[in-house]
Amino acid sequence: MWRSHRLPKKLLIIGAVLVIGTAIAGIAIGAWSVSGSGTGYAKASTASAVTLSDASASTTADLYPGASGAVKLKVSNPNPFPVRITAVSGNGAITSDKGASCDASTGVSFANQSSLTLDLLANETNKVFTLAGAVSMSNASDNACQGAVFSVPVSVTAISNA
Amino acid sequence: MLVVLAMLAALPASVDARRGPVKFRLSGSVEGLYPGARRTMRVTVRNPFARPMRLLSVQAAVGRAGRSCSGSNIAVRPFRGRLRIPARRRRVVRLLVAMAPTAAEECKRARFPVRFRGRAVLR
Repeated sequence: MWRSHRLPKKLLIIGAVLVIGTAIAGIAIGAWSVSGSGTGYAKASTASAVTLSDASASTTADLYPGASGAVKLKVSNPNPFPVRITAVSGNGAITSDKGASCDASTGVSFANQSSLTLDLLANETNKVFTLAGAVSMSNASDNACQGAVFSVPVSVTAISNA
Repeated sequence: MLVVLAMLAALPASVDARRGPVKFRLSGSVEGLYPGARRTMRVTVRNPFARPMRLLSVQAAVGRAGRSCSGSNIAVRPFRGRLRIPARRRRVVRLLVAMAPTAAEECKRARFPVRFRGRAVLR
């Protein structure tokens, strides 16, 4: 009785192995690998210039011959991303509110500023920074400059701070 | 019985083999990049096959946008996963795109060409 069942059992095992092996082979063939390709682009936007609210900086401290003072810088960032001002440089003749006689010899000079980290948020307007010790007055300053407010034309260098 | 199973397993292969090496298509773009920016690029993947496709990966190679503006200014994170796309349908995958904070001035308004490569399996 037992003997008669041994042979069919072996055949069943062999058959099962063959069926599983065939099924695995079938899966491997069924899942075909395909590739794809295509093109596109990535476009950079332009950057708008950081603007000075009054196109200049102005002195804030009382200056007198031999003294130095701070400059107030009011700037706006029209860009949709934050920027960092890294440098401020003198960009023209310094003028006063006292007229030609003072303007002819203000005796005021601006020291270019570098390695700054003045941060502006995206679209931030009229932010005020104070540059300590950025201006100085020499003995060349005309007497007409007493009590004057000086305007200091500057250019600003900024980078993206995103 | 075993012979019949083997034939069934081979059948899907022979059906597609008649069509030749058809590739699926990818396309996408992103705009508004600036130094330090991160954006999401929507890449459309079209399945041209009569069977569902499982997308496994999408890679993007960014080319030069100008003499002083190399493609290395743009980094694109590849897609890795298992996205099922039904037969003759399309799906969108999102790739993270970043512009280097040190991107040169010449990269303003630059248009970087992008070539996509994808890998998928047909089910």
